[in-house]
Amino acid sequence: MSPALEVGPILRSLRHHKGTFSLLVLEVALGFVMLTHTLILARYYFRLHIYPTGLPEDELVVARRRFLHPRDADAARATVRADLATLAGTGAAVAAIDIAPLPNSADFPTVLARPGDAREHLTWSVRATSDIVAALGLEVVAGTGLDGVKGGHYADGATAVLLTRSVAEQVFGTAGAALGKDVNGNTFGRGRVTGVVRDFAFRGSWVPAAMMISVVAAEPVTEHELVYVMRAAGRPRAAGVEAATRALAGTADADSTIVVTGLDRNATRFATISQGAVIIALWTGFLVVAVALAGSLALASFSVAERTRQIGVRRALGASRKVIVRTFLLENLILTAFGLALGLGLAVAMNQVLRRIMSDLTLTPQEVLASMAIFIGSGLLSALVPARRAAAIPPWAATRTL
Amino acid sequence: MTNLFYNLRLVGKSLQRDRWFTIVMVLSQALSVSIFVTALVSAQRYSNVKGHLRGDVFRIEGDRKSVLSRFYRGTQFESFGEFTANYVSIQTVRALAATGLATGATVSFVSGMAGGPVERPPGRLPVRFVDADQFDLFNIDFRYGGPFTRADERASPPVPAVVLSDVLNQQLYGGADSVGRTMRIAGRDFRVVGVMRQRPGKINLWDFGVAPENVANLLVPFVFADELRPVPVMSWPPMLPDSGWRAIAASPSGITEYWVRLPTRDAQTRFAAALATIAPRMSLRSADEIAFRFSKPPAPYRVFVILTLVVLEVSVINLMRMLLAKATSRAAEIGIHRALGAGRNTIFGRQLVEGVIVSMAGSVLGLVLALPTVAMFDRLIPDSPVALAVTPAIVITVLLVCLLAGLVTGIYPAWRIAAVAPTRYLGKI
Repeated sequence: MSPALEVGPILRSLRHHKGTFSLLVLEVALGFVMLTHTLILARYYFRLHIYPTGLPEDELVVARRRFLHPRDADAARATVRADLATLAGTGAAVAAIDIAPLPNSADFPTVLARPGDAREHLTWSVRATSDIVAALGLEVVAGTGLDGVKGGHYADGATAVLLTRSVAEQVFGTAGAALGKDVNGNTFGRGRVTGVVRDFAFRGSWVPAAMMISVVAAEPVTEHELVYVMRAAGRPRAAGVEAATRALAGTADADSTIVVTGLDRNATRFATISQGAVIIALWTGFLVVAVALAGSLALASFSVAERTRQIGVRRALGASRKVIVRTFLLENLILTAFGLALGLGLAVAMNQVLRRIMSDLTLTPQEVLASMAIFIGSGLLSALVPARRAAAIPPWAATRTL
Repeated sequence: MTNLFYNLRLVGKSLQRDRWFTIVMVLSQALSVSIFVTALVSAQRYSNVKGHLRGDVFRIEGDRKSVLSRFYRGTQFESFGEFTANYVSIQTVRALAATGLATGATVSFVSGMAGGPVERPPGRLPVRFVDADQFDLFNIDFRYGGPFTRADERASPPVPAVVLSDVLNQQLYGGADSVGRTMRIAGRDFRVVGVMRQRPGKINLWDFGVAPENVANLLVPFVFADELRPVPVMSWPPMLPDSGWRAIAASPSGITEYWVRLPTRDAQTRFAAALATIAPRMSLRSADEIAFRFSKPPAPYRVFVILTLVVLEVSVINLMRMLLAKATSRAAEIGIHRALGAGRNTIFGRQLVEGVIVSMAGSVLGLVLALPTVAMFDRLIPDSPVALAVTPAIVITVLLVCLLAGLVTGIYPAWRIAAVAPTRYLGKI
């Protein structure tokens, strides 16, 4: 019998059991809504954590000197210069920086604007000493690094600034057009674009627009702590940490402590939160599929028992076991298809509601297709058990009473 | 009464007869409830942040619609864009304090300092600078010891006393009574005089913030700021930290929250007038209004609650299908009951009770399963140092929701099965 011919009796059977089957359709629809959105959430948090930073993370080392007593800025700056010389002695490119490339808490961005232009642009500002391009392994795509301007300041007092390509293009149109132009920032005052670097990002809280970074020439210190970032091309992180620790140990200072760490992207709180959110989202999605599947499997014996006579009659009239199995699978496929069609509509509506809460939760074909595949797969699996049991019903069952 | 017991016994027997089926029904409901509870508990951490706050407490705030709000809109840092409005400059604080109009007032800002228990090597220590009125303004409970006082602050020299948060006391001293211990902060020794008590599972309005150090910190009298030279975690417009504490304190940048107590309407009017002169762009916001803003949990938690509600719905429909299939397979038995005199209402009631029993059993088991799920959530998503807690309010909410879900679940199968005519299946037996 061709599958097309089987659809007629199946549809009649669906109509006969419309109560039970409409519940199944509704369950598949809501399960689909749920699963697509847990997949969207999982993707959102995965991307928050795993994205290309454009930094040679395996080589980056961060060193901190913490003062036990607050130290005046001038004295702190003298310490910075001495430490930079010491660390450069290890063969690494090194820079003092105001925030380590793995910030552990959210920070306010800097507001940039061109003189005479009212438009404001938000960028993450990094203040650092002249060797920052080499220390972070950045690639200059136009102009020079901060070391191209002596002392980090132009003769007229403007501060040297590097922009990532994203910022340069947003503010000036192209990377080339940005070179030599003035730009004002609410943290550093009047600046001038010395160079444009390829997009890079710090991990952690620097979202959204993680690649919007401005690097400002400065000798960043606080009265409590100094932070350095360094890297030697080709030298692995562990060796870098060891070299820096050994070098700084020689600079005995009773009133400070030194902490040197490699840049481990999994070490930040935000990385942990994002990873955790992915796991929770997937667990929630798994639950909904598991609940639906468990229900359907448990129903197997009932759905067969209820239709013993019907199947017996069909067997007596010549239907093979294979045909009976196929009927059950086809029936389930039709129901799942109804459910998914309804679910798709509901998912789009739900997505509208959720995007009002979190605009990044966009519904894409990937989630829709993945969820459909999962529901069709689990639907067929849940139909296979009653189908096989039904196929085992002998033709004489038709003559039996209940 | 006998009738009731008879019916209940029949329901019990029905549940026992297909034991595995009943177990699957209860378990699937329980799993859905467990994740729903987890979502409610995690959202609850950020709601009802007001706690036992007095009604006459106000905060000085700036414009909430800064350039940052649109930058963060729709992301998981949504409310962060408005945080800039919470900060006032030290200059403004000093000018307002000089008016003497508030009966109580405190600054409140966090700074990362070097320090820790004196017997250990110093590490990074989150410190919140406050005035002694902090404890009275926010009705802060103590686990051990008590607050530092105005008298401590005004003594010459001021008494070096600090108060630990519950969470930091847990981290540094394993939760033991640390009153009398010495903490060294930026090279200065302080005596621990008290450990605050943290409400289970809820953040407090006064230490609401995005960074973990907002909760796991140490309260230090603001009178020591000039000596310790803090670097405030937040400043707006941003201040460069290398300008040093004196420059930061003298600048017009906002770096601290400023809370005041104004018990009478007259005091509020006079204070608002003074504020209009000292800082025209600032305004007075009541704690109620601020708490109301936080009545909605952050965006990802709202999404999570909505999605787990859908899981619960799926589970309810699943249960309905199972109950319906089970009841339909018993149609003949129902037919006999009907033929022997059971009315439609009796059959309906019996089925409904069966649905509610399964649903409630699933809910109670779900609440039990929620304990490890909540613990797992807390470990996987260390969003705040305040541990999540399944509070009585959550338990009651969940039980009520599940009772409603149980009724909804039971009604359709019960209605369908009660409609079975007594004669329908009798001939087939």
